[in-house]
Amino acid sequence: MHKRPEPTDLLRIASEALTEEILPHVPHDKRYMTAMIVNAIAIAARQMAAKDDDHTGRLLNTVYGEYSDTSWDQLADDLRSGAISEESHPNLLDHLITSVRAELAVSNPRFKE
Amino acid sequence: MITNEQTHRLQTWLRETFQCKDLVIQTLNILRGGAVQENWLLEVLSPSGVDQAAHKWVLRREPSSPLGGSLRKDHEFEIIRSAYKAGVPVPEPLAVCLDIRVLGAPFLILSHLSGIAEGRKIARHSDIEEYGDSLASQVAGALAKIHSITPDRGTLPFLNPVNETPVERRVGLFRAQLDGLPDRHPVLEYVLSWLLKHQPGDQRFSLVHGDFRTGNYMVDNWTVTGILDWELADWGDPREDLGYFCAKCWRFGRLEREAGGIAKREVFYEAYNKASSNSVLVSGYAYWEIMGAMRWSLIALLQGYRHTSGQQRSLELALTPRLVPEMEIDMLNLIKEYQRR
Repeated sequence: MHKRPEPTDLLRIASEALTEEILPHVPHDKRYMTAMIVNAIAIAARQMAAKDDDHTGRLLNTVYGEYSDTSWDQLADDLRSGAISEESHPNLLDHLITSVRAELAVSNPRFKE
Repeated sequence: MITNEQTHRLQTWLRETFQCKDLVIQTLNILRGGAVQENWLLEVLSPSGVDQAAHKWVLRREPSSPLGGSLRKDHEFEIIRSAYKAGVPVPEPLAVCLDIRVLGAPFLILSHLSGIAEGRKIARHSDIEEYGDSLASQVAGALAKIHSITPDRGTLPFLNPVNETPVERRVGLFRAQLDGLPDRHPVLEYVLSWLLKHQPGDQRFSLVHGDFRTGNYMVDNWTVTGILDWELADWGDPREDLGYFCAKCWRFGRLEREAGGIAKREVFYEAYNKASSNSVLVSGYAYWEIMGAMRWSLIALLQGYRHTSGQQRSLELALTPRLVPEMEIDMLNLIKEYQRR
């Protein structure tokens, strides 16, 4: 099976080609759609490249401890019920910010906070 | 998509509804904008009508499966009518059809307004420097009129009665919406719990528009001609609309113009207070902009679910939930700022 170029590289180069070679020639009323296509490909490429970066796992470890097998769904429940809160976890807000920044690096790395 | 057969049925329905036997549909063209709702430009000729005139209307058709939390079309019609009566600039509501045999889904007929609504075009217009403050004042004036409609007059009886605080009502709705989605969202849960715990003491109920932002009002030559898209209206705290309007996610990149990308926050609040019987403190903005970012997060997730569930395949809808981390970081940073004070 042919492995190279890697799928992430294929998506990245496809997105670059679209942006540089096609987008300038697209009629005005199709620009928005083309920009969305570029964006969708770029997000998929970044998400594939970041698949080994388990930021949700890190957040769960920080909140529940290294050897816990608590799930993402459980965290949602505990945050709703108040079982996990600022009182029980004083640095909770900072941990959530770190986790969201990892998401942003995939969805929109150019986003300005 | 509206078939020839449907157009014919629509013409028959319009003839009956407007009691005009020779009414003829001249054009029926889809209008841009609206990721979920469909808007059509409808031009008719009614030679024997009361005013023997040509009319330019907008037909607003519900999608086959509407966005969660959307009002029924007849209720949306009633809300627009009460706003119209209260002096809010809105398209005049002319008729509503719930009979799905006509066009496959319920629809409204509204008067057509001149101007543009595209948020990006308005916020990034080269004349915004000159006209932004006046535009913001007009929008704030319209908002004050919306908020003059209150639940204690027995109006709009189809909206759920109010028996909790406005914040509890909204957090309850958002949690119910989250429960209808396949994935869980811990950051949103954290923020909802935070909103509940820090709710302000001076809440009151009025009609809130629910999607009040640049992009949902029509502007013609720097005059606001109408407030659009009422399907998320509900009883709520008036500051929900102010916070949503100013939330960072609705500034179209013009971050320094906090009020919808068109003016400074202070200008908007001052104009609102001048036009309203409410007095809203600009210093309380953070709480309500967090609430605003939360509202858009929920809309974005629900829109994405329309795509992933197969109800309406669309690239735009597919990309919308990918905006949610942007709202999440805005909300968390605002909470941090709030806690430092």
